[in-house]
Amino acid sequence: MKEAKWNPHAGGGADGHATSSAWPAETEKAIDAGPAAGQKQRGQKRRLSGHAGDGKAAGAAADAAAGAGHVQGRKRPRGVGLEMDGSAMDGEGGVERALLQAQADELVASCRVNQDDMRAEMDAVLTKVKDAICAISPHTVYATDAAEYLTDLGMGAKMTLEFVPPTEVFWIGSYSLGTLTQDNLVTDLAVRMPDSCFPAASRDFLHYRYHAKRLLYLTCMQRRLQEQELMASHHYGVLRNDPRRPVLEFVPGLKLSFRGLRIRVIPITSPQCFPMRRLGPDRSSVGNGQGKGKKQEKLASSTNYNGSVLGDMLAKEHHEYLQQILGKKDGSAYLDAIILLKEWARAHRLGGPNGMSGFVWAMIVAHLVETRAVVPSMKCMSVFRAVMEFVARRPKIQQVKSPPAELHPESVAPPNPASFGSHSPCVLLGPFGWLNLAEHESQSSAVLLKGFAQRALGLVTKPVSALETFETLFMESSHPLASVDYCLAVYVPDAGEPVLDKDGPLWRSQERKVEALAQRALGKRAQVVHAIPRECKAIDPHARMPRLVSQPICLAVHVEQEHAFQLIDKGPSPEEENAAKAFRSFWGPRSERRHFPDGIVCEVMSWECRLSERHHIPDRIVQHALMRHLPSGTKVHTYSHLLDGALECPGSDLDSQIQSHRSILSSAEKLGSILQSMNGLALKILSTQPLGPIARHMSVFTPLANPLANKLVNPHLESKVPRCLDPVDVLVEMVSTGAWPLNPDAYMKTKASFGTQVAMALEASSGLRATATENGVDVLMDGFVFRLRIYTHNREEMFAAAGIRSELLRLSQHHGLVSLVSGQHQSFALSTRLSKRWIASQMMANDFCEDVIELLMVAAYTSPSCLMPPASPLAGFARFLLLLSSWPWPDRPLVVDPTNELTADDHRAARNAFDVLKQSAAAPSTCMFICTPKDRLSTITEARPRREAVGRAAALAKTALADMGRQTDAQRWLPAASGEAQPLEAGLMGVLQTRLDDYDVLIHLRREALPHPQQAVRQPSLAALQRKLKQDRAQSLGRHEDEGVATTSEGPSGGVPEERRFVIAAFPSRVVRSRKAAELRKQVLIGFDPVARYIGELEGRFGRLALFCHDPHGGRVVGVKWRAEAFLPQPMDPSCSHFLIPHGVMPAGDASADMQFVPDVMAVVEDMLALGEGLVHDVQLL
Amino acid sequence: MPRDDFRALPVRLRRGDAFLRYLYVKAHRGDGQVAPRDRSLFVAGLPLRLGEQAALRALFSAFGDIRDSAVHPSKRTAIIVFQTPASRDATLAAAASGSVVEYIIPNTEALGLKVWLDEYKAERPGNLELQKRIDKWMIDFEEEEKRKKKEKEEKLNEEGWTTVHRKKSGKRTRGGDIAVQPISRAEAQRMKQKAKLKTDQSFYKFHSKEKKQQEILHLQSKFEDDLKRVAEMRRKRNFKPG
Repeated sequence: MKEAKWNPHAGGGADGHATSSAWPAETEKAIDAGPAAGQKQRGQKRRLSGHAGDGKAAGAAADAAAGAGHVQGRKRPRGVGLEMDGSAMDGEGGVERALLQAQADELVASCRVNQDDMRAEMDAVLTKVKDAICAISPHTVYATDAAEYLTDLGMGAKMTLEFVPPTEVFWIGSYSLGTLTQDNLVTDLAVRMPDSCFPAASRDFLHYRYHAKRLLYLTCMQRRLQEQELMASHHYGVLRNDPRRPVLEFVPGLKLSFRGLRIRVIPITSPQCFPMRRLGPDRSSVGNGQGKGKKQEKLASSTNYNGSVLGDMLAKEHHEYLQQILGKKDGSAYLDAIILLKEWARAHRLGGPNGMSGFVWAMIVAHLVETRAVVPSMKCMSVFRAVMEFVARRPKIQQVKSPPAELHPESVAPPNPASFGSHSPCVLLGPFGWLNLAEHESQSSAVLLKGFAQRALGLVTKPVSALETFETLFMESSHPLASVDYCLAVYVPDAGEPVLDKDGPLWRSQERKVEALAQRALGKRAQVVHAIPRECKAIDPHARMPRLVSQPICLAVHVEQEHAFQLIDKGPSPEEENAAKAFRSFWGPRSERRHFPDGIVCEVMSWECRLSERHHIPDRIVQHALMRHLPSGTKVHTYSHLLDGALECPGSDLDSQIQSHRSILSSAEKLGSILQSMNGLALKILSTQPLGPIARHMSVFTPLANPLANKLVNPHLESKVPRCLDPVDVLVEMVSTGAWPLNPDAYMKTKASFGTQVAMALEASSGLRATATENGVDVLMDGFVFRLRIYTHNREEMFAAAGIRSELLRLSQHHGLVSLVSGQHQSFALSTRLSKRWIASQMMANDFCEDVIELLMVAAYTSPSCLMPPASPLAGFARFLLLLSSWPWPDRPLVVDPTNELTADDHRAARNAFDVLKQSAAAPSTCMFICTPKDRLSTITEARPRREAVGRAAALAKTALADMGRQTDAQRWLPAASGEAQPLEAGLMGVLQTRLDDYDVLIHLRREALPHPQQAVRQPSLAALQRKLKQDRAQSLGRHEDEGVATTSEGPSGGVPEERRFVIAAFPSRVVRSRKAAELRKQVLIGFDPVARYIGELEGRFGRLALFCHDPHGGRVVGVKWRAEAFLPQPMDPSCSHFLIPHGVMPAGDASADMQFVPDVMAVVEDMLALGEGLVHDVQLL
Repeated sequence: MPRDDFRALPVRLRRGDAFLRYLYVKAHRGDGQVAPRDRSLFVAGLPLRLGEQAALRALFSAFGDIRDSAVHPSKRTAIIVFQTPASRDATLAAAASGSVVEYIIPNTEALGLKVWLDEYKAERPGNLELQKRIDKWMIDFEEEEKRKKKEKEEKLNEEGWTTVHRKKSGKRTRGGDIAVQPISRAEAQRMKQKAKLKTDQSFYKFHSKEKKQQEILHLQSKFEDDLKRVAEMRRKRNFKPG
């Protein structure tokens, strides 16, 4: 039944998928059961699929495919295509699948190279190269040509090769199969070295002798080709990241119509060249040194080495096998699928030295063809799906062909497949049973691949929206930082060992060692620990082998969030002596024996740390284990702590914020119970519920307890006390009775009236200070402010249904949605805070309100993707940036649906609603549309973010992501080789730097007039600007006065008159000491944000002229960006007339029809200053 | 009225200032009663501090006595009604000749932070005071409602209708001794649904016919939507990730 396992038809019912492979299943069954049964089944099918429209739509999709000029649509008779799609239509999402297929066809068409066009030219190249090489007369090649490289291979200078011209030269690889793609125009040319080069007596397959001769053969050919001027340029590359198997890569000297085409010359041998049984997985072919110690110890097997020889021996046979199976006339879908697979791997960085190559994909497809899991009538997406299914479920050992094909009549039987398993982490045996095609794969890359395949399978099986599914599958340009949770850079000192160890390059075994150590250290904390392979891109045969060992190793860790942040690792109990000993020796002196309260005694490794540092634990564990077990001098760089500083400010570190959050929640609960037990109210309070970002621990800064908001025990305070307090919203649900007014205004007033009642009752009964306003009741308690917002479920829902927006209802629904996701993902809150901090620091907070950012974060964490959900704050933040920068906001709505409530029809409805919005007569101010189950029309983004802001945010996110990548990425992840930690930190924090250079006017604000000036990000650029401003002013004081421009402002506080210099930020210590606390408390400002008011007024007055940007967290400037279109001369518009000035020569008041106006910048500046009197320090024109 | 009627009136708001602001004035076609057609002036483009009645009147009183003035809530446009038509014409003539009006704004009225702080304080008049205000609002509201209701009734009465009031609680009997009782809303909903269920079944032929039609319409809209999407997909066939 092994075959059946891969056969979607056999297990089709159990899998519960009704994909487009349903059709071939029917055919096959029909064939099996005879024509009559087949007829009957098809009849049923047709009756079931009575959706006329669906059929038509599929037709349209097929048309789209055909329109793209794709082979598939044309080769098959049209009727059949339609019918096939019709059957694929059955069930939910059929149309989506048809569209997906259409898109896949177009992708293939755009990726594929038209090989028919190039055939003639390529044949000409082949003939020339072949003639040149075969004309080389047999001679002896000496090792001196590549002496140093051969030394690294362990060869002496005496090494020689008796050169004999090749027996065969032919195309292999993707060109010969017809799966060449545009982005990798490399054709492989196999050169078969005659067996006579490797005389049986010299046993060349041992001790790298084969590899040495192979290199000499290659250099010999290179010389010849160069002499004949057949190469425009050339270099030596390697196969499979293996420096033992160099290849000659050259750009042909002939003029070709295909630009950028390169040819790789790959020397191969024949299966008869060496005795195959000596190259089995258990055999050792590499000795340690010459002859010594051979007898005493049994040599470890050199599986990898043997594979490298076998790969060359079997190259032609593998090529022929693939040709025979995939090269058939009706196999074009297979080839398309291989191109799709290559694209898929490229999009998710699954290629590379550890990943999958086109050859392996072809072998997998061939396997599926052999087992009849795919049939020629399938379309390429179905084949793709079948491959995903194979990869997602493949066992450790898998054979392409079982039983293996015979090489030649007298060949020996291949080794037992199980024997490969003990030497390689992944086994995919080639069709002859000798070569492990997955030898290069590491354990972790196999796990990664499997995970990606599983997620891809989920996406393909039930595509909700074809466009999005397609893009996540094939276009997702995932950023390395967004795709891993933790990344570490490991610098192992180079001890000068030989480049090749016993079985492969040293760097490879080093990577595997580091990977294994980290994996062991993390245990079940990690899902995957993947050492990203260092790539050997090119070699020089006249120099030493490249020493990749000296480059840093990059570890990418995906953590299991349930366990990853635990404080202790429990080991074995001391009774299990050996295990306990192993545990201790692994962890070293930091491990200890611990008695637990429940009587258990065991070895424990403790990672106790402060609460705010829990997300560093995985980094610390790996760091500890690697430093302990790798040679001294090893350095491990971690990144998880780098952005923590962004969420701290003087006097408020992360720990105190966590503590404060806890006390807020407990105080809110206390307040709730007081409220619920209160007597004497007209209506009873049903429940209370803290709401909002602070309660969710998602506000950038959690407010700390303020002594003035507490019970005043000590009437005199000593030092500075902040004056502005941020309230925590608390929803107070009252009993819903019919007595609540039906008129919305009266309802609001009644609520306010209840509010005052509650406030008075609270003050009377529990002595808390409560101040009622029309919108809520501010209660000072335990150092915090709670804003009680009265709510009755029935009435609010009723109003909402009648189309009257209910803010509280929306808040509570939003709170539910976000809390749900944040409960599922531990890192959610921290990464949301980072994202908010970033948006604020880029001065976009007045466009992206906190709720919108939270929704985007929910999307970043939960929307279907090929990536695992992020599990570290940094990864979550990077995902947010990725979403913001890559989503096509003007074209498509974003559907945020963490609970999968929305169906395909709902998605469709969201798209239609967005289209209607886009086409509505009034040009929509926003282009962001976020559809959630409770807010399907995206009321939250109705006014903000504005169109310009979305574009700017996307661009800034892109640069930020690139910056972050550059800071943590070199050889993809790391700073250049030096490894200094200091500039790195500055760099990552640099992501949070405000860019002031793209504004036209800067409005500088007084520090004392800001509610929370201490929260500002340290901004070197701003300080420099202010210095410049001061200098400018010193130089040109007189000039300003002459011009009478409003920017003339002297003294430290700008032009603010003495009596209007209010201090908002904090009570100065002098005032605190001299006044009583009760007095000060009356002056406390709750939820007061002068800057927001200022921006509101500026926008009201100059919104058509400019954009106003500001960082609410202590930002001391308001950036003004003129709208370019507002500066074009325009006719009179009364609504803008307050900033217009007649254009051109003073018209002497004779306003005529063609008079034009332009904005009067000076007047605007003057008004800006006046509007923000007391707040604005200065205005600076840039 | 065509827009090009506006004339620029340069104003100097600070003594010895080379820097001028412009007001845009035109004759206002008023309603004829409050703002007579011949003496009303429409002013646009008011600078910040000129957005107050007092300052505005002070400025325009240079052209003659002002009978009335009104500022738009946005404080950017205003209407000025002069006592005499001559004053209005003088203003327009001044604008046409480009002569500068000098009016020194007294810099007394607070803006910015002070206003916001005052507003903040005004929102918190104290619990008792707030309660009083709300109570007053409620009383006014109820009276207003009553008045409206009464007006409506009177209107109806005038048209010859007689309003009959239903007693709130009291069983009314119809015919013999069967009591007619109001049922609860939920009950009504349930009953409605039940009734709907019965008729929804494809009992009659027209039911299934309608259903089919609905389905076809739905599929049609789906089809059109898909066509649109295919077109869109074709339009931007940018497969290489940027």
